[in-house]
Amino acid sequence: MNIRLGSWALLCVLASSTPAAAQATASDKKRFISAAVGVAVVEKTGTSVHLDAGQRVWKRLSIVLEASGYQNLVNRRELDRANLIADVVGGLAGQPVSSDVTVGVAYGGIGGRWTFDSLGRFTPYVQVTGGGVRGQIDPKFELAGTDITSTLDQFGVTLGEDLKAKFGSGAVTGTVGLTMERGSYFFQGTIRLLSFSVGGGRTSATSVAFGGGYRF
Amino acid sequence: MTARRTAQILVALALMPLWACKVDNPMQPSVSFVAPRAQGPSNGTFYRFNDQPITLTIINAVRTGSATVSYTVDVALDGAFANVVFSRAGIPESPTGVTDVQIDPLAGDATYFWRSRAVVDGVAGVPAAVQHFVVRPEVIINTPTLESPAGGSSIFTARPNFTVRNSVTQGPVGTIFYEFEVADSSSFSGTPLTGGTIAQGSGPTTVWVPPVDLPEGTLFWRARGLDPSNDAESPWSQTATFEREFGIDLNQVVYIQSPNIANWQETAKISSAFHDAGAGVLCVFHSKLGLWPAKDFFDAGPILEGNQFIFANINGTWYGGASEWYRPGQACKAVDEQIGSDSFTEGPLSGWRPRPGEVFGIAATTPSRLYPSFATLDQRSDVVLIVW
Repeated sequence: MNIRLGSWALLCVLASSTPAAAQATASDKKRFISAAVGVAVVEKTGTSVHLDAGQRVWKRLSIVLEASGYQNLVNRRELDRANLIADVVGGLAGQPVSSDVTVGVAYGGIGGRWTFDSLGRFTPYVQVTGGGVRGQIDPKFELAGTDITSTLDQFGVTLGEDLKAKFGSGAVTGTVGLTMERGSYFFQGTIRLLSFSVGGGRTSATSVAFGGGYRF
Repeated sequence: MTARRTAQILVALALMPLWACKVDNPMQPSVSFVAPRAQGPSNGTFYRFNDQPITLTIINAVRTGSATVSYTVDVALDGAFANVVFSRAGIPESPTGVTDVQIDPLAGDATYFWRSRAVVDGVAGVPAAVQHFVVRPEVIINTPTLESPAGGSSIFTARPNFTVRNSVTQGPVGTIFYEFEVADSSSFSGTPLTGGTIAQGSGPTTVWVPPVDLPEGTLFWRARGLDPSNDAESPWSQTATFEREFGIDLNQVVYIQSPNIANWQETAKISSAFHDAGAGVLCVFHSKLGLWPAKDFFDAGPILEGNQFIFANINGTWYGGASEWYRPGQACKAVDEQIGSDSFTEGPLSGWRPRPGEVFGIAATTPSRLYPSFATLDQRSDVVLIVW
């Protein structure tokens, strides 16, 4: 939550502190590609990578293809499930067992981007896409510092799709971004929300990313 | 936008759901779970053979989400479960948190290994840790044979001995006991008149004495063998019936200085018999009084018709013997508490001194004292019990 608020604040500061002289010089260029790297948060923080490609189709509206990768979007449910298993295994083993879960996610989607009037050197936009995610849930259990994940069956554990699985799901994203134009190039800062379902529940991730792009 | 670009976008849109479609693995359950844990029997438990059927108790599998769970249970003669002797699948989970499984009876004298596993979404989980228990050899106790009271017999004692021939047993039996029941109904419905359990005797038979007096009438009894240490028992024996009669069993009487009159013909019936302490007489009126032949009594001529015959219960045993002589037609004889020593010189009756209120038996016989010196017909009356 702190990262989310901080990102919003940063963007607002950037927008308000920039002189209003600069205008995009590539307004006649309809296509763009961009890349950004940042961090994404659900219950834990992981890196995220975002690729966007778009083409203006009407006034300020662009059709956008979005692809993102998230290192870890594990949610509380998955961590709690792993903790439950760890507690039971720890009881059987007679020693504490620690647990962790990593949920790596790739997103692909298509949608639209609306670009607003520039605020000084910065041009804000909002973007909404819909598509899907594919991901993988990977748990990890350690007993006295030793990874026992692959030998959990010795403790009677059968991992289900809620803790060890590849999954796919429909997903939507919403993005708020600011671009700062430099000729055909631009820098950008974004805040993205990704929502998808996994393991019988819904995961909503927030990522803050910075990067650049090219218009042509 | 060109038509080509539009087509590319449409294709991308069409492929998106395929790319993101849910990935299901039919070999993987929807939720994670840990194998159920054995709660009972605890490892190494010994069961008597007759403790069966055995109930296996498992603590339900811990799982990470809601799912329909069933269980399978295997019982084998080896820890590798190569020789499975019992198996059951699809056991529904109990909502109590503990699921019980009653298994079929197993052969005795063997060690059994058992395990359970949870089945979630049709996927069998990892088996629980293998446990084992032991079923002791089977103990068989055959039905004991009733010896006495024999069927159809008459019993005159209030607390007769009940005797069975001990059961034949098989297997490592513990101490064998016998349970006896006496009832006034051949069906033994309701509470029996009396009953009890006694350890097997050292000989071939076991004797039990009822703790209460048996009522008169037709009674039934039966017995069975028990091995409490193995929770084993034989079937009840067949039922024997006997008559509990009031009076004295003349065949069981110990006769003192007198013949056994049990088989003497009973030709007389006592109409009245009593002891008059005030008058100091013992009187016996019977139907042959004055009718039995008179016998010469030493040199006094034919002045002897018979004898009064008394029966005294001394320490649980009936003793009997001829006491006073009586003349033809004479019913009453003068007696006092010295009747025992006056009539007998040996045996328990010689020291018998009846107490006021004591019950004793009386009969009349043709001459039976100094038998057979004055014997005539060897007949007797019935026996009645009167109070001193």
